[in-house]
Amino acid sequence: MSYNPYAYTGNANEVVTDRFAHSNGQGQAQNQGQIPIPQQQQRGFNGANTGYNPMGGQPQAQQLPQAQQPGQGQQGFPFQDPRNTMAFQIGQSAFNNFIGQDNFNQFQENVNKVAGSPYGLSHYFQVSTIYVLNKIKQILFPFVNTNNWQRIIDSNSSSANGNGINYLPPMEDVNSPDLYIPIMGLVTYILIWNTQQGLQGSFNPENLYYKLSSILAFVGLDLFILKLGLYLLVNTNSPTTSITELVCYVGYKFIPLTLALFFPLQPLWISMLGKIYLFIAFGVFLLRSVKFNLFNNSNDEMGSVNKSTVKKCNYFLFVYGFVWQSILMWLMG
Amino acid sequence: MVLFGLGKLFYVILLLINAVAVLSEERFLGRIGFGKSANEAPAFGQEESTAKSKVIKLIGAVQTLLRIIIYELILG
Repeated sequence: MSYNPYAYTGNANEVVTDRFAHSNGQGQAQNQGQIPIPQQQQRGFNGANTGYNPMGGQPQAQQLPQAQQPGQGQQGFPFQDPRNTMAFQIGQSAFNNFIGQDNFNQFQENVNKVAGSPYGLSHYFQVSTIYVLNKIKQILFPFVNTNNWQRIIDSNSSSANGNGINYLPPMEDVNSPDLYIPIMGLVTYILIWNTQQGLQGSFNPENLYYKLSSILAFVGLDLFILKLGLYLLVNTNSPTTSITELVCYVGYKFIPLTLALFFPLQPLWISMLGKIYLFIAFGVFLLRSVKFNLFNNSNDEMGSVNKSTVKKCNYFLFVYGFVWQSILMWLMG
Repeated sequence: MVLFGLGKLFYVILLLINAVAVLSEERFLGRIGFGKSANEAPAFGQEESTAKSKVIKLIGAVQTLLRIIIYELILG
């Protein structure tokens, strides 16, 4: 079956139902039943998202004739997948001719290696509104979360880099870390902090740079400590210990920091109480979401993880999550 | 200078790395049991990489790297 990239213009119903399905965030599985491609039905619900991943290590993403595979472009709305647009294909073929196919593949592998994660960075940006709301709820009220904290392993899609573990993207799994909330939280925090300075009459444009720089320094220090501790204590190659996912977990602290800015200053005990609650809630969230995903996949590799390692890791995460995070957020905010 | 916080963090990290690099092997590290001789191959049943062996490896790596930088850039 030859795939026509403009096929959706001929079939208006499909486009409309697909857009509706995305706005629901739920109905993609029903939608795929209408498309008569058996390969796609085998891949099921999870296979729908592999087509969105322009940097992922899938080999069919990088060659022009195979990019027109039937399984990739027909679901979803047309502008989501840049691989299907003609300009992208022309640009990519020109790019491949200029640099060379092997060099380009090597470059993409290097990028993925530097990022330290088995998938590309775009995996962490596949978010939906429901996911963001659920994640914020999870950060602010981690005590009411009755479901487990383990991420769901994507069993349907074949492993891209031979690592064996593929997690579902954040759009379908609340426990999965993302990079959208940390980046947006950083920008929001800086803007709101400066707005408050402006409302007090002491706005200075230099404060934008100053705040950004000092916050990046704090986050870098935080990331350094977390990475060093996990490197020394834990002996797993779980993707949770990669730099990218640690950036996610470190960056979630902007949500309690931003909310702490809104507390009224005048009765001191109210803002104190609110801040203490936010810090404790964030500590619980960080502890649970890192701890339950750290030894997730090592069972099939090493038989069993050492008990003392788990205990040491728990102690480190407790000190890191509660004591150090509280000190850090007190200094930052 | 625009990068206030990042500049300070750079100094802090640079000085910390320097502090690791100047640790003397026979005067200090060997006495407290962190020398390279303590980092032997693990016996059977022993855990392969403990926190201590990782610290020893990290110190050795930092010292080697900084030595290369000094020889190549400054002396060479």
